[in-house]
Amino acid sequence: MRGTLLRYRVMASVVGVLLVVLVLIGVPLANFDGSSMWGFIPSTPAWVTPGSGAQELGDTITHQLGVAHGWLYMIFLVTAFLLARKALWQPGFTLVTLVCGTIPLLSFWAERRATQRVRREFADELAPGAPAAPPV
Amino acid sequence: MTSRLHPAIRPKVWPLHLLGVAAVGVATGLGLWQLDAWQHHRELAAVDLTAQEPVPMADVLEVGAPFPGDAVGRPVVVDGTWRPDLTLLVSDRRVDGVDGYWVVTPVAVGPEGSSDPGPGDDDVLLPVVRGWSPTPDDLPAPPEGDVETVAWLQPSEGTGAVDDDASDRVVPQMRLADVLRLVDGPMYEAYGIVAGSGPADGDWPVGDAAVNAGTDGLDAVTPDQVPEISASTGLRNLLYAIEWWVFASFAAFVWWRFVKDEVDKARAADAPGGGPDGGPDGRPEGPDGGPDAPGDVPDRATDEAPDRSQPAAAPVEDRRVPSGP
Repeated sequence: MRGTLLRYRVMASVVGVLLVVLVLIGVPLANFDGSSMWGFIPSTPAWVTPGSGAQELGDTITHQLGVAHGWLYMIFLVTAFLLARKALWQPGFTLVTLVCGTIPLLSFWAERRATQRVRREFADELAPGAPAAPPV
Repeated sequence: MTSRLHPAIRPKVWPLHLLGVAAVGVATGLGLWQLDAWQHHRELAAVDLTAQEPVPMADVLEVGAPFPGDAVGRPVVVDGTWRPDLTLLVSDRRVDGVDGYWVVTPVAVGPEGSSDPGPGDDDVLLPVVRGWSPTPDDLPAPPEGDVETVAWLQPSEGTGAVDDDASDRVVPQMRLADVLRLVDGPMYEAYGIVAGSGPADGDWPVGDAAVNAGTDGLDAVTPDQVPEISASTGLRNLLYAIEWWVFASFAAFVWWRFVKDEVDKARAADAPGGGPDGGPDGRPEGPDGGPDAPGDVPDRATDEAPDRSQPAAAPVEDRRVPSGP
């Protein structure tokens, strides 16, 4: 249980931070130049000068990090689901944990909520000095 | 077995099926969409439209619309008024090993069907590459007045080059956002290259008969001199497509797992002499609940997820094996 929880927490944190960088920094830098965005958002606030270093940074973030984040998110889903199985969560709790991982900032709340639940329900197993969980 | 319905299709499980179908369906569809975009990129790279019959620009390009993917290199008739005051240069254009500049002057194109040839408030700008010059100095004076010529349409470039001096009228790439900064007013999501010679020789309705094409004193630019669109744009779509399908498989696996839990629980409850043995928090106490049970999930996840992309109800029936080791 300890390893499963740790793997979940690491992936949740990595994905959570990347998501914030991607959505709350990368996308505004790359797209908020006053023009339309993605073909269906008619206008954006003109915060960034087109062609400036800031916008290039935004482009790099959205392009490179976008793909990387997608794959890391898959790993996150697997670790979260393994934890859900091991901790015997009901489908509802599991789905909320998985879905909240996709929402910037809310992902941190979901990670806390899940971790606290596991710590509460598996306090014996997670206590220091407790016999190691079966190998995973 | 006291129940009439198979545990996998009882109403209690319906929301799970609904979610499962939705998640798998949406993810598969998004994957197909990305695959489509990827194939589209490849097709565009393979097709050369530059020798086609020119069509009026309004047939291909709409004001405010994104660049139509099937119009790269398509010759169109541009009919409007030069804006010599907005002339700009694009640097780092290499022709026969010589670094030079594209000379670009926007054309103000009036609304469709407008008979007034002069400039108007409703005009939309189309940056037009008039030609290439090895030097930014001694350029021929930009043309003035009305223009009617054939131009190859091109989408915005995005080479990643940074404009290190935003105050001059030289941009390092033909990126429309950069150009927009140097011109005023609305602009098409495209630029044109004057198709004065080359494949255009005499064949085209306007071609040789172009009016005031503004190419005098400059070397002609051909579409094959346009820097290639980065192949990664298309590759990214393919990566996203695969990503979505991995996600679809995962969603199918989760769906199957949840349904199997429900089935196991229901079977345990239906069994003669067996009461509902799930605790109030939904923890089953059957073989699934053993401390070892989840331990083998990792292998199952990797081994079985791809096999379970089919509807989940079927595998449930023949899997009476407890999930414990």
